[in-house]
Amino acid sequence: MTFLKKLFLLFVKRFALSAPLILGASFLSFGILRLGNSNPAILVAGPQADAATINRIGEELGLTKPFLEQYFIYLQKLLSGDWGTSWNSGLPVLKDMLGRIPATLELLGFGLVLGVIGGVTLGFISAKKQGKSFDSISRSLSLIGVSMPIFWIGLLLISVFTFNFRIFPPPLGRLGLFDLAPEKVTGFYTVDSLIAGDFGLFFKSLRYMLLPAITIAIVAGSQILKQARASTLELLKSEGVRFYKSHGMSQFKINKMILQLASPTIFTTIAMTTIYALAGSALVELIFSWGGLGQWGLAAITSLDYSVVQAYVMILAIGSAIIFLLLDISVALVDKRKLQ
Amino acid sequence: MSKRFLNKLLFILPLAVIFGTVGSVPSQSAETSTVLTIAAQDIPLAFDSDILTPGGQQIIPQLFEPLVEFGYGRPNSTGARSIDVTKIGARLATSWTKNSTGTKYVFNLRSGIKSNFGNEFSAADVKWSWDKSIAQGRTGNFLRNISNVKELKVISKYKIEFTLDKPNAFFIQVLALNTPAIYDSVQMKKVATAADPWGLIWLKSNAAGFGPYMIDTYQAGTQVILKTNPNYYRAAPYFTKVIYRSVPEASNRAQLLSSGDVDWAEGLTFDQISRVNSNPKTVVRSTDGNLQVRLVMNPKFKPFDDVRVRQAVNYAIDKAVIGKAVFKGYGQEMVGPVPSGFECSIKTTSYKVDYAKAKSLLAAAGYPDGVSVKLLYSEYSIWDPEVALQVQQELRKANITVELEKITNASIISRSAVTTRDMPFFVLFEQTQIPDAGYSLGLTSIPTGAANRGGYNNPTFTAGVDAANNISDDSGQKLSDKRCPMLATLQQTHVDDAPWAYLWRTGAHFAMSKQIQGWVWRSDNAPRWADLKRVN
Repeated sequence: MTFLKKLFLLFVKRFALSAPLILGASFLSFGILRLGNSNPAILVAGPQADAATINRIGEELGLTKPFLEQYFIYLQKLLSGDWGTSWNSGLPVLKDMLGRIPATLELLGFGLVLGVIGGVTLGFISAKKQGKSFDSISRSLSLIGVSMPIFWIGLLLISVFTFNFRIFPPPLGRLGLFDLAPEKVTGFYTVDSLIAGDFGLFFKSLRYMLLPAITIAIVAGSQILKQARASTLELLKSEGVRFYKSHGMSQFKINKMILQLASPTIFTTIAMTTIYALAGSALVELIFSWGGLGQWGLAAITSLDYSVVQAYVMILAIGSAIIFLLLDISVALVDKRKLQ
Repeated sequence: MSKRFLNKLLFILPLAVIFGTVGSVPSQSAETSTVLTIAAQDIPLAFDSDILTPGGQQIIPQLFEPLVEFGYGRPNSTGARSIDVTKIGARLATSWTKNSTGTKYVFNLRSGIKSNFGNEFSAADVKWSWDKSIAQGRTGNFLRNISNVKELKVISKYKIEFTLDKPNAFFIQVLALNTPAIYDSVQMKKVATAADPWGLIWLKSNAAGFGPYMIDTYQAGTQVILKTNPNYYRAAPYFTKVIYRSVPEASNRAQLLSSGDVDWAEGLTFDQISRVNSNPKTVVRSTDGNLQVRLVMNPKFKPFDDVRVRQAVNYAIDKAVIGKAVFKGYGQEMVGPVPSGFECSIKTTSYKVDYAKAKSLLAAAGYPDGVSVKLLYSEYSIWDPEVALQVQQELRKANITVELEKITNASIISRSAVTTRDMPFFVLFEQTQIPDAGYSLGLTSIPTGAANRGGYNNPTFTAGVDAANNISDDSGQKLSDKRCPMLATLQQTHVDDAPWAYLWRTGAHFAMSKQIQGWVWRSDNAPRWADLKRVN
C-alpha cells in the first residue's frame, strides 16, 4: 500500500472516530442546559409575562416536547444547517457565529504561532543549557505561564504594558475607538487591511492583536516549553545521541535529529495546548474586549441563550476533532511507523 | 534582497509594531472633542423599550422622546443634580387637561417634529407605541396596568386621549419614562411583517424615534455608535457622536477612564470608584439614587413562612459591616422598603443588629438550635457575590447557617418572574423608576408587582397600596397630604412583615472625565448624553 493511501486511510479512520466525540458533545451540552431550574420561555417572554404567554412561547420553542424528541429535532436541524436562532439577538446562530470566527481564529492563530515558536525554541535551548542561568530563567517563566490563570496574566500585562508604560494600545478590541474596520473580505483585519492596501491599518490591527496574542502565547508556550525541554533532555541523554556524537556527527545534524525524534511528543503537546487555548481564549477575548467567538459564547452562558451555548460547544468540539485529526496526520508524516 | 537587509527588516518590523504607539497618550483634537467615548458594561441586544437589556437601558433614552419630563432639583454638595419628580415639564406633549374624576386626560402634542426617518410626529405614533407595549405584555404593559390606563384614543393629529379605569396618583409621571417609548409608527409599519406585526426583529438593530440621537453603527456585542438626529426639535446636542464600546472587564473600564482613553466608564466596583475619585483628571458624581440591595425571603417556603424567622434574619445582620466591607462606605443603610427622598417615603422603625434577639425569635419560631438555609445569588450586580459572603458570616453569629449557591443571571431573573417566584432566599437589588412610595410598593410588594420577586402577599397591605395609588387630587386637598399618611402605615407594615432583609442603599455613582459637565441623575440610572458637554 502506498504512503498516500495509508495516510488517507488514517484520515478516514480518525475522521470516523471524531463523530462520536461531536455527537457526545452535542448531547451533553443539550442535556446540561436543560438540567437547570430556569425556564427559557420566561427569559424570552420577559419576567412580567403571564402564564399563557409563557406557555405559548414554550410551545413555539419546542420546550414542551419530551427531552429526547427535542434532542432529535435539534440534531436534525443541526445537520440541515439550521443551528437555531439566538433568543437574545434574534439572529440566526450560524450566521452570527461565522461572523465572529475570523476574530477568534486571527487572535488564536497569532498567539499559537508565537507560543509554539517561543516554546519549542526556548525549550530546546533550555535543555541544551541545562543547569545554567538561561535554563533557570526559562523554567521559571514556564512555571509562571503554567501556574497562573490566563485572565490574570492578561490583566497583569494590560496593567503594566498598556496603562503604565503605554507600549501597547488599550484593551478596546480589534481596533481603536476612532478606527474604521477594513472592508470585509476574509474577516481577518490584518489580511483585509492588506487587501485594501491600507498598511497603516494593517500595523494598527497588528498592534491591537499583539498583547492578547502574547497572553495566549505565554500560556500555550509555557506548556510546550516544558515538554520540549523534557523531550530534548531525554534524547540528549539517550544512548543513540551519545553514539552519534562519539562518531563525530555534526552538532547541526544531531540537533535536527533530536527535534525530529521529539516532534511527536511536542506535536501532541501543541495539539492539547491548542484545544486548551481554544477554550481559554474566551477569557482573553473578554479581557481584551475582542468581540470574537469566545466572548459571544461566555455571554450566552450567562444569559442562558440555549442555541448560542449549544453552537459554541459544538464549534469547540468540532475544533478539537479537527486538531486531533491534524495531530495524527502530522505525527504520521514525521514518524512513518505510525502508519503501520 | 540581501540577507543583511532581511535580518534588519525582521528586527525592525516587530519593534515598529510594538513601539509605534509608545507614549501615545490620547489627546482631544477638534474633530474628536465633540465625540463622547464610553467604556460600556454591556451592548444592547435590542432597541425595544419593552425589552430592557442592561445596555439597552443606557441607549434607549437617547433615541426616544417622552411625552413629558421630570423637572430638575438643586445641585447637592458634590454639585450633582437630580430630577425632581414633583415638577413635570412638557416634551412631546405641550399641555394637557383632565376631567373632574381624574380618569380622562387629553394631551396636546407638539407639531412639526420629525423622526430620524423624516416622518412627522402625530397622535397616531403615541397610540401605536402603547398598543405595541400592550401586545407585548412586558414592561410597558405593567406600567399601563399600574397607572390604570384603559385605552388610548386619537382625537386629532395633535391630540390624544388617555382613559383610566380608576384615577391614578402617578399617571403623569409614568409618561416621563421611556417605556412605552414613542416610536415613529410610519417607519415601524414599513418594517413590520405578518409574522412580526410590531417590527421587533427590525428593532434588534435599528430604531425609529424622535430623540436627540439615532443609531449610526450597531455591532452586536461589540459597540454602538450614535450620531445626532438631524431632525431633533430641541437644541442640537454638544456631542455629535457617541461611541459606546463594550469593555466587559470592570478593571479595564476603570483604567481606560483614568488614562484618558475614554470619557466615561460604566459599572465600576466601589474600590475602583474610590480610585477614580482620587485621580485629578476624573470624577465620580454621586447622588442617593434608587438602588436598594436586599435579601428577599419568600414566605411560601420554610423557614421563611414564619415572620419571626424573617425578623430574626433582619436582626442578625449588621448593615454597617456590609456597608464598609462591600460598599466601601458609599451609600447608606436602608430604612425601609422605599428609598428615603421618594415622594411619601418615611424612615421606618427598622432593625438594629441584635444577635440575642435574633436567636430568641428563632427559638420562638421552633428553631432553638438555629436554622440552616440556602442563599442564592448571581452576578447580576457586581456586588452580589460579596454581599452573599458577608451575609453568610453575619448570620452565623445568630446560629443561622447559610449555604451559598451561585446561579446564572438569567436564572435569577427567570426564577423571580411573576409566574415562578420559586427561590426561598436570594440577593437581588431593586430600582424604582418613579421616585414615589406608592409606585415603589406597587412595583415591589403586591402580588401583581413586576418586581415582587419573593411573592410577598399581604391582602390588607395590597388593598392599602391600591387605595393610596388609585387616588386623584381633585378634592381640593393636596395629593401628598392624602396619600402620605396611608403610605407611611404601609411602609411600617412592610418592615414588620419583613419579606426582605433591608440591607443597603448603594447610591448612584457615575465615573467620568472631569471635562464632562452637565450630568443630571435620572431615576432610570441612564445619563442623557444630550445633557452633556465637554469643558476643557
